[in-house]
Amino acid sequence: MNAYEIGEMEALCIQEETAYCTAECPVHVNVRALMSYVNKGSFEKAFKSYAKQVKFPRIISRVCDEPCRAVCIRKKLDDSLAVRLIEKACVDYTVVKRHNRSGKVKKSERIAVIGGGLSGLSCSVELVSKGYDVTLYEKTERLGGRLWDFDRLLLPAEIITNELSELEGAGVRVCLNSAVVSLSELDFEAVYVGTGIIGESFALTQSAEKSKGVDPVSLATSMEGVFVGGSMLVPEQHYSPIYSVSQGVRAGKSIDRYFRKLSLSGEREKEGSYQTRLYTDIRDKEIKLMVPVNDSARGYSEAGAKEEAARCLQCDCKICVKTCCFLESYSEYPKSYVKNISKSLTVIPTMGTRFASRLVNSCSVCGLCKEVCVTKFDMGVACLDARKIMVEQGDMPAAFHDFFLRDMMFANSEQSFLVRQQPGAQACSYLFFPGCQLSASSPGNVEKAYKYLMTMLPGGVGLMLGCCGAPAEWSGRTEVYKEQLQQFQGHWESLGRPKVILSCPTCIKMFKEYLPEVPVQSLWGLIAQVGFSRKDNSAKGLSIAVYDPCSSRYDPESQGSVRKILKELGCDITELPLHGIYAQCCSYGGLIQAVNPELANQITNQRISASHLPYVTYCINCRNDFAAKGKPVWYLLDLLFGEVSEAEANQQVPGYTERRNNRITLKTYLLESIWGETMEIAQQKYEKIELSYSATIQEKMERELILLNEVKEVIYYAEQTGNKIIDTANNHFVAHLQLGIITYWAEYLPKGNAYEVFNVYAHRMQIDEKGS
Amino acid sequence: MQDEDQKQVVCYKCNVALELRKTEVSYQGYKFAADLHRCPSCGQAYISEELVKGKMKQVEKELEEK
Repeated sequence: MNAYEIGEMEALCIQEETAYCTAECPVHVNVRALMSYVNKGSFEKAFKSYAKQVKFPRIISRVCDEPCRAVCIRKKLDDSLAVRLIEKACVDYTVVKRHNRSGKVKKSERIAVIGGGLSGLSCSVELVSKGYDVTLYEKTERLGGRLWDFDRLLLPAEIITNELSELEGAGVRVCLNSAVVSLSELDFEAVYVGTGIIGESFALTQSAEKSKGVDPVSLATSMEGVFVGGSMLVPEQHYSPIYSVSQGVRAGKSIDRYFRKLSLSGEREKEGSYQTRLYTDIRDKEIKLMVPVNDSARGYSEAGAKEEAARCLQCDCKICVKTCCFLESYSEYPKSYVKNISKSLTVIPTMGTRFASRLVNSCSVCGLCKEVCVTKFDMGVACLDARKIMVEQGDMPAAFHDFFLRDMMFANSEQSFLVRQQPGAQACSYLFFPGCQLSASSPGNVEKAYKYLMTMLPGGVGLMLGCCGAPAEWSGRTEVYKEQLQQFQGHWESLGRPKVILSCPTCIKMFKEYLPEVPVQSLWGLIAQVGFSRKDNSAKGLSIAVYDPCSSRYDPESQGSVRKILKELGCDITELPLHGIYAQCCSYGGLIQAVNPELANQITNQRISASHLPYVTYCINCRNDFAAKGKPVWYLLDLLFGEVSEAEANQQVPGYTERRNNRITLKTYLLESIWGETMEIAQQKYEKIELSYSATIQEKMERELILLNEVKEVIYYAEQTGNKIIDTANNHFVAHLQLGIITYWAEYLPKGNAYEVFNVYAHRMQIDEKGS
Repeated sequence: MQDEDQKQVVCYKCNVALELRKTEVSYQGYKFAADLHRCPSCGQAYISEELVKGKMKQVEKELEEK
């Protein structure tokens, strides 16, 4: 997608769609706003909003047939909201009832309205509000039509009289006792006929099929400038006061269009009742029955109305926002996010802030939002494409992904990368690719799994240690991940295109998406299929929760196989609230750590509190993130090949430096123990210096993504060149060095043959030390 | 941007106290001047952790959003 297309995604998000009640209401009373006002006790504001839509608030609030209640989703929980009663309370508890009715005739066109019932009255009000000259003809001695048929207790005569007496003040010329016999006797530019169910139809409609000959959208008839509406178009049993109001308003809008020579029926889909696209999830809503009314004619007290209004669910969607810490953290929703992203990508940087830059890079790209969304809106796709555009435009802050890209390059460097056929095998039918992070964080499991595969599978199992390129993909660097995948492909071809066994769910996802010609097999599926040889019962009865990694979302084979293996081990499995297709990212995905560490921290904390049980996962990054926060968690291979001890679940996570060393050690060790080869490890001079530092410094280095080698390089450089300063407060040396795009600082002192490090820190800004 | 750190820092090589000087710093393609501790003789810089974690971090964040 380009920036424009990312912006266009906004149409898919339904958060701003109309509430069910408002869409169903033919005059679109803003029920959500009304309820919110009443809930706060702002009856006047509620009245104003209500009066604007219904035209005759005192009357309608007593007789409305409430089509809104039929679609109120509270109905699925308990009772529909008592909308009309609350509307009546707005009228009752508003002292000064101000209507925005202008009485000024500004236009020359004159309109005759025939019939003083609700539709004719509404049409008149609509037209005078637009400045037209309106004359209303009523054949009886009073306005109101069928309103006089209502029970007087419900609708007292003075309410009708008072409300309708305002009409003339609003600018309508009212002619009572004026029966119109023929339309030809009238000298007007347009006519509205709303004479009711038994009124004169002037042969504009046919009694058998009332609406025949009338355009249902514009209410225009075959006679030029003549419109009809109201209850004369509907069968008796369908009489609806609010529908009559809407018909009058609709005809008024048509007459306005008619004079302005606009299309009578174009773009009017949202006039009258329509179907909203909104979706509101009510699974977590509390049951609250309707507040009872003692006297249905009097309605609610102020307090009763407020209490009932509080039952309004304020229907919206935000289902993704409620499911995702990232979407929630920016306080809005995908519709506004993609609009911002699109704008951000096209704005000239110096002209304004690219406020979406961090947002775009704070998404784990896990795809959970798409799964919970009724329209399948995928914020991950928008963010990933936006990252690609940022990279192409040269706008991506390098520091956002630098650390993890360097880690990827290291995993594929001479020091860590390894590819070999099974020793002694004639062919290579399989290739085990454990992924960069397993070799780094749990090298013992790589060895055990490889040996297991060599024992269980015929035809030779090769081994490749490296990275699939996922970090580059997450960072928006298309060329870089393609390069990594091509390197893989080259080796795979030269091994005779073996079937590739993958343990990392992200590798599986990457291979399936970008290397479709490579046959892949999930390690978990394979283990479930060929079996394993764990003889003891150490995992029997172990109560655990399975944590599905986000990349396994569309990999039911791995998800199912993992559960099968755990059952065979005798584990007592509990499912987390979100699992399977709803799997959540641990916070490693999308490389958000360096971009938004606070968010990453919040996400991981939320994940580990989803269950008090220890977790079992099959993504080593998930294990690392959770275990680093003290959550007991086993990597599945530990349960298959390890001791299944509590100590194992609580096993410390190796730091970033240790992970790099682990890769080197694993390669050296495997080469020697399996292939009988020795590898010379070329060490840089600075790597040979010894450092001592406290656990606090160690933690700080992890948190701030500073590697031990980087500290060594700073100190080595300072000692070689003398470029250091002395802090006179403690006589410590302080030195710095820019390595790549980051400048590292170390506070230290020599200690015997080594150096004691007191502090480390780093920044992204660059200093020009050459200038004076 | 100015380093508010008051501590006395001395250049190891030149054995002179560092003093605040206008220094060009750059990030994300933007260049501007900051008052940093510099050796008046060789130009070596010192930036306190306080500045790095405070004002500098804030400016970095702002420029990353540009």
